[in-house]
Amino acid sequence: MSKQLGFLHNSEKCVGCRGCEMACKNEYQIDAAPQWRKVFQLHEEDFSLPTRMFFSMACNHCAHPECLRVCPVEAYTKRDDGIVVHDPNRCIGCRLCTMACPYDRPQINSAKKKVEKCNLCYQRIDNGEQPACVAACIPGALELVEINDILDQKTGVLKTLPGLPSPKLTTPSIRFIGPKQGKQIRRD
Amino acid sequence: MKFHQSICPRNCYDTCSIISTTHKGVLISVEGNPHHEYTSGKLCPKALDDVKKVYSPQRIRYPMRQRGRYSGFWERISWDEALTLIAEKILSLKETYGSSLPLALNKYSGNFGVLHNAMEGLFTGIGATTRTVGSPCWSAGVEAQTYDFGTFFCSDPLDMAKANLIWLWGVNPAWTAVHQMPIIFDAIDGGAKVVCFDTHFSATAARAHRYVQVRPGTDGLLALGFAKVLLEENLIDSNLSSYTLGHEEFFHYLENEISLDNCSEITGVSISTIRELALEYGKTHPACIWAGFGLQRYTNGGQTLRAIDALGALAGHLGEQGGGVQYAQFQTWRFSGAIQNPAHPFNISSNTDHPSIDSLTQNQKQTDRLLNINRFSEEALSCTDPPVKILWISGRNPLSQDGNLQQWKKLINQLDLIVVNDLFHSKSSEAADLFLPITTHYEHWDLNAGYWHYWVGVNEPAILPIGESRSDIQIAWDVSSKLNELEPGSCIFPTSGDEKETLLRELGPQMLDILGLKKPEEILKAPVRANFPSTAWENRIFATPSGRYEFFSSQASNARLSPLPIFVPPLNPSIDAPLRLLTPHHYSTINSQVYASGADNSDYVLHLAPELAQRHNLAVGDRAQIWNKSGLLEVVIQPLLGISADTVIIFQEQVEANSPLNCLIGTPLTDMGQLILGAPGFALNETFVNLRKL
Ligand code: SF4
Ligand code: SF4
Ligand code: SF4
Repeated sequence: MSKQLGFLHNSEKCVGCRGCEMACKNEYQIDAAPQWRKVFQLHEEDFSLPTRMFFSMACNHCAHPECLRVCPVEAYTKRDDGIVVHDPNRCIGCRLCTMACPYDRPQINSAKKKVEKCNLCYQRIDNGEQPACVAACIPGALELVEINDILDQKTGVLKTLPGLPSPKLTTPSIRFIGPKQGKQIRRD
Repeated sequence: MKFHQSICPRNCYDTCSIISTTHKGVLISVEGNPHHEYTSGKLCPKALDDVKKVYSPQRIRYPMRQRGRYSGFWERISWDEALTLIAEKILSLKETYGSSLPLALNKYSGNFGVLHNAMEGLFTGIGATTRTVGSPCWSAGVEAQTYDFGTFFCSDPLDMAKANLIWLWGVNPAWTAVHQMPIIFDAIDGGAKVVCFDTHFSATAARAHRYVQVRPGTDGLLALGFAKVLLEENLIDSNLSSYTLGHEEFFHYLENEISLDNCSEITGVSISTIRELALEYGKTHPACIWAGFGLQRYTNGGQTLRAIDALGALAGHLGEQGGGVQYAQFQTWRFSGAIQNPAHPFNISSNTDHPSIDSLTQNQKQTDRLLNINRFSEEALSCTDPPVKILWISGRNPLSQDGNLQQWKKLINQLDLIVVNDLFHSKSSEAADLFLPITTHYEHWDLNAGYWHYWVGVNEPAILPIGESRSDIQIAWDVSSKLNELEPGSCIFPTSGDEKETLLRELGPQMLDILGLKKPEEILKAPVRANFPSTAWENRIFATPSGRYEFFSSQASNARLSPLPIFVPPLNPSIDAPLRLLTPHHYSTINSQVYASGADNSDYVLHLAPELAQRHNLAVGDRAQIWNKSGLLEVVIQPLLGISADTVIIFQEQVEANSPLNCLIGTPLTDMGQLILGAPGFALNETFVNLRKL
């Protein structure tokens, strides 16, 4: 593998608008239920003050993808740039991958009885374009990045957020810029 | 693959420019227009769901008639049957009552495209009818700013990036004006400080340097408190006497009537915070205030806006690049109005150009029966001579958004015919007799302007109408045609036309001048930014009678209001209903407009302070009831830090419940709105409820 592409998400800038979720649906006209990308609110209990912070997650194109490891029909492949691609033609809908993924990102499409997931818009990337979700993020909170040591050494770049599974499981290709808290003068 | 220009017609700050993609006549994708400086290539989730919305199986594709209101037994009928039914009913009522006043139109902002004003045009073409005036949204603030500045106008929203201090006051752009967020983030990256004032801790507040929680309805007093500190600390613009009127009187009011102790006690903000923030606001230039719409949806809403304007003026922030007090604007909406004012055949010769709107509106005012949109049901019921008999609902969903549903029920009982034109069934169509399917903005021509940014552009059809749907203007032509077929001369609205030609006629000389265009056709190429300066009131020449910023407004006193901005307390809770209910917008909806892929909630979620939840022995997920004398609603409990214990919040999310949220709402009115919009606004945030565990 020559490199590992992934996402960098900035919770300070993410306003929780779900534009990324819907841009993905717009691009692929995915049925209503499967959510390749999903925006989550960070649990308020994990912070000392109320946060109203969000993060957006799709497939993390892990360095050690569990989905790929457990799939009995080799529906998953990992490209040279690190993108984990799922091939619906091979998929038999056994759901092993949906159980194996610690992030719950492979999604079952109950109408088609197959799994589907984010393939990091590889056709757009091959065209020199940004993934649809990244291109759509209005405040610029979601970026496509190369996961490497230079990135990890930057201040403020985190490998995980409170409440997420341990990155040791699959070495996900996602990094975070965590929430900063302002001063709150509240009456409650 | 083909690309088309569209404009998002929702009632939203952003009014995005959209590029839609079709393949073999099918809409396959929508994207933000990268060449539009505000949209900058990006759309919100509501618009990104448009393809699904256009082809949604729930969309109504044919004219339908309901056998029995609320029965849900809808049967498909032909357009000719539907039009005949409507036209015959209109004509028979006209004969019975000798007037067309029994015919009422209730229309607002479901689609802000100019061609949708064809509905008004149709009604004007029929004769004197019953109409709505006013706005459920922004009336008090519009009037307040008109007293102060002479008209309400705001800076280009990009101007905010130049601010060194931004006060976001009662506004949650993270959810309701997402495209402003990158501009605010740019300002932060450039060193600006952001303070957010709100009743609850919002997604915007979370991204500010400082969040200040204000007791609902007391923001005006807080602004006056800040003003008092500026005065005490001598942080007043030394040039005030050259461009303002009545600052002495205002100083006098601050000195004698405003005490910081009182201000702190009522607003819930400590004196030290008031001092600290006021000093920062007085000393930092440029400093911008963005005042949101929610602020003025109180019985004292207009005074609140006037107090905030006065604070901005006092500190010398008006007309400052990156400063000012921003609310909204209507200057880019100076369309010719030819659609809603069809030329009368008797003076057709004098009307070959555009009829003079002023004289026609004048005419219309004399003849039409105008009802406050916020008290429509009550006022319509009180019309007896003649009574209202036909109601046409267009671009609205009053049974989900209006207050006083009990009166609405009565009104519905008295009506002979209710017509709804819409895309989907709604709370309002449940009561309708006829449903006319309309096109989306991907299926018709239109022309749209923003009320926040300065851009105006056309919407071109990308695909053919779905099913038998028709555009509002086509429906208006068709009704006129049927009326004239049954009784020649019974409607002067055109009986046919061309959508594109009609929209070009809306660009009269004034609009062409504002847009810097020579010919209307030039707008067809791409959206155009009006050529206003980026900073509102940059020369400090105002549009008031005195030409100055008016602390002291004679117009206000003529309207029997205080000439100076003053604090008037909001409504107080009572023992029967001790909690204030706020119903702010959710990121996924605009009022009752939702998106198809939105979560299907079956319950309203009541957000409340953990302390209040505890007091009622309520835990997350518990079921509870809130009620008041208007109605009762079952809710699910969600405790949340950042809400004070005297307030509960239900966001306007899509919920499939029998009883709608507005069953709790009466029709309290705002203090201002009458002069400029013809009726006071809706003081929606003055709603109080009681809470009990189930
Ligand atoms: S589009 Fe951007 S800001 Fe909106 S939820 Fe997604 S990551 Fe967050
Ligand atoms: S996130 Fe889940 S689906 Fe994606 S690569 Fe990792 S294990 Fe597989
Ligand atoms: S990269 Fe493409 S497929 Fe993956 S979440 Fe984003 S838009 Fe969807």
